[in-house]
Amino acid sequence: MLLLKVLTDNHSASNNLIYLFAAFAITWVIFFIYAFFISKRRQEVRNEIAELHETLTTSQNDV
Amino acid sequence: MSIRTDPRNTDEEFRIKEHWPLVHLPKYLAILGLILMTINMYLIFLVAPTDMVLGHIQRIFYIHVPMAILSFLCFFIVFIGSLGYFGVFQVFKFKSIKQNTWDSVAHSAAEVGVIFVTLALITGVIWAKPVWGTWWTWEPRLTTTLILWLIYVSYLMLRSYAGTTKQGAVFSAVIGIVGFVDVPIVYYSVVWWRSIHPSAVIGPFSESNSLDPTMNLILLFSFLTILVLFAYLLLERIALRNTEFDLSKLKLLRELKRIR
Repeated sequence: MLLLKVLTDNHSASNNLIYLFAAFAITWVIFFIYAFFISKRRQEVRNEIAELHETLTTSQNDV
Repeated sequence: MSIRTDPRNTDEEFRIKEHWPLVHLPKYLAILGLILMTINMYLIFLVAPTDMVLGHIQRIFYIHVPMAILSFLCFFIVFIGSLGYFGVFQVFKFKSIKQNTWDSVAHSAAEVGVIFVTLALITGVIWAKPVWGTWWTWEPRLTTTLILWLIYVSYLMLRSYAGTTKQGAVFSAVIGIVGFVDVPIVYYSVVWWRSIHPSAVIGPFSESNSLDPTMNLILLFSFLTILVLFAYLLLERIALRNTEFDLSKLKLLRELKRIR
């Protein structure tokens, strides 16, 4: 649809679409990578806490 | 998530309590952010009028401006968090907020702020190439923004090298306070030193009627969208930092048990 809109516009001289695409693509890629990294890291830490919690509780019950 | 020791038997019993806002709110914000982002893309590419002079490349401005403004907000949060760390707000209602909480908020906001200012710089240089004919020029707005980026990257590097030591938290809080001085300089740079960078579109020095009303509305919507995504990232990052802090406490507890 964007392509259609661009083709029907009369601004061919200033249609720097590659730059427009690059700007949006880079922005969302960096954003999603960062969000993914935080969520993944948080999940890993939570799992580690759950394991430690279990280990500590088990050792406490053994005592 | 936080570990609460049982006051009846502090050595043996402990439980993990998760704070509701940090567990569920980021999820809702992420869903809301994705919905708003989809609508925002539609508005930017299919509803916003094409600029008569710049053409389609002008659409970058709908993400560039909110990213830059929200990076200022991040650094303001770092500034407030750093002041809080030094106990400046002890005289007010915030006595109950722990020093570690202020530090956690400041650290998380600095990281999100660096991401946002990096994106503002990247989208800026991509816009500059077709419009100015060069990727980079040492004009005041770009130079002061680069300095801002360097200040907060050094803040994060310091935190990374110092680990969880108190000294690292103190030094980075100093950077968080002193570094904020650059934020108003970045904003006013287009007023103090007029150059090729477009003038402000938001704030006290923005030119009234400089934007088409539709463009104004879409910019406002973009700002709202990126604000939601910003809140999501910030809360998620604070939650991660708290969880890491709890993990280190649990590891310490395990070591103590081993020694005994």
